[in-house]
Amino acid sequence: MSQPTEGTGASARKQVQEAFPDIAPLVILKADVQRRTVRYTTQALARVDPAVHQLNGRWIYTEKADSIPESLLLRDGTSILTAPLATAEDPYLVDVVDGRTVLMDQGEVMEDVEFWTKPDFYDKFTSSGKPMWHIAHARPQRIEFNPYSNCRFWDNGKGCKFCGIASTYTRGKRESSKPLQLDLRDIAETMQEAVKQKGRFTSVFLTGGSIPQGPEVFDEEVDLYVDVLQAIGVSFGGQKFPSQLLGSAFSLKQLERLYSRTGIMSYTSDIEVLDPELFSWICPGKSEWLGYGPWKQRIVDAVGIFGKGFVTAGLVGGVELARPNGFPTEAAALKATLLEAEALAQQGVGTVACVWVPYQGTVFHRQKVPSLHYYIALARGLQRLRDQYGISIEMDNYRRCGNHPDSDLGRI
Amino acid sequence: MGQPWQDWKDLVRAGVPAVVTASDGAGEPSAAHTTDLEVDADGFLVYPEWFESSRINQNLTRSLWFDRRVSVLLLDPEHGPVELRGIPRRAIICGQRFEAAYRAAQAAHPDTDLSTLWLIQVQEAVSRSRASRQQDQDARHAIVAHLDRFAGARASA
Repeated sequence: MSQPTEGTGASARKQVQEAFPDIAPLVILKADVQRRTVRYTTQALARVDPAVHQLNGRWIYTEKADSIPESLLLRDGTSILTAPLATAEDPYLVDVVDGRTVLMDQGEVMEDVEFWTKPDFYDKFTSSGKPMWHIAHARPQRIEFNPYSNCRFWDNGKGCKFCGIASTYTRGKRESSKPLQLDLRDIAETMQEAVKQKGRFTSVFLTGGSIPQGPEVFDEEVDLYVDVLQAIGVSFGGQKFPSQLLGSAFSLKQLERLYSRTGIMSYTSDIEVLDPELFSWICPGKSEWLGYGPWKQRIVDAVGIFGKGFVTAGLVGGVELARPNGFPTEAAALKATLLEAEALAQQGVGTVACVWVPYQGTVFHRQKVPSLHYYIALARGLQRLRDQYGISIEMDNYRRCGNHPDSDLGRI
Repeated sequence: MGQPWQDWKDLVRAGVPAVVTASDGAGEPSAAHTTDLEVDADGFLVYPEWFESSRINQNLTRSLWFDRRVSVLLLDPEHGPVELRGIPRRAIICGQRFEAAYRAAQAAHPDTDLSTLWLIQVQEAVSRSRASRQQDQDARHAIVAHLDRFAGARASA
């Protein structure tokens, strides 16, 4: 792949569509919207119905309670996780044209979009009086719990440079008394309420900030997840249920404890960037407590517990090109990333990437994201590896997560 | 009801069984039998696919993504089959409309999941009865026939 010479906006997208005729234009559009984010017109916001659409959200990376829709759906059912970004230079526009809510780019209608709808539990309260939207976050088909809202890697300032967990928590604590940790009873009650809505959810997702403390590194984090999963499991009679835990890189002993004592079915750990030197630079806390090699090995070990197709490694796609220490070219970044992803795939691990957005509240907030061409090449490369090594991505696909253009490609 | 292929919406509303067919990237077809087609208020043919992991679901996704036509054969017991051809335009997998369909599906088949409501824009409806296919061939491909049929016709003339 050569260094990108693509233009901006619509012309760049058209170039990429021509370069990747085997990739669905909707997936290309989605990745580009994630890169460039969106802005809503007054007319589009007038279509928001607070009784129907999801406006509030308390989760680990953001907290909002305003009149802006949480996110969007495309007509193939795919979510676009995106939000207005103050520093965005070239955002898509969500507007109303001929009575349709549409994505616009440089005056041209791209696609119809819909706002996410609010789950029924969002308007309910726990017996302790808390709004249930403070306890769980919703995507169109996924309910998400963040049991622990901070990341202890920030205790000594060594959190990941692209990550806004700590700043989100600090602001939430100051502005809306956001608690550090969720109460197990609130979690159990919210889960029980959520499953009353038939046809809404297809999976339970857990993630939170890393807690490296404990007799063995991450023991406290594992203990918390066991407790939370058992509270959630009350709704499912103690059996396994469609679920994903995105946690730190746990040891075999810890993974066995998680799997044997709870209903969890799949496991992801975010290695973030597939290069040891960049891992040390971008993720100094992960590097300090465990290191690149052990982090990767623990993800591989998890396949022995959860099974092939039930373990993924997560990347912040594009962060490997962050300046000044990132790969010098997109071609070099793609080659190195896919080489490491192949090593994981050979051992049964699928790799998924999200589209990096340098949000405010992160060390990297002034960085520039890579080209659309890069993101599509990365998405295609990751899905081809899963195809080549027979790794299903059902655990982290468009229904479960919706934040990975590469796993969207696994639909066909 | 007029000619059956002109009233495909009536056939669908009458609940005739049907076979939905779509192809994968290599042209390999997959078919699914259904008795649950509907026509929605916007005129789309609505096909509820039960199974997320099915080949037909994957192939319908490909058809939506790349504007490829799919075939739906309506099995009209009275006038013979009618083939619809069109393009899936929307996959509804969540939201109020999906949940209403899900509840109805659960009421009818409590042991079965529901994956997707496929909205297909029908572009063409053609009768596929034996008689109409023979008429079509005779009219447009007069040289394609067994000679004895011609001989028999002359003898009886």
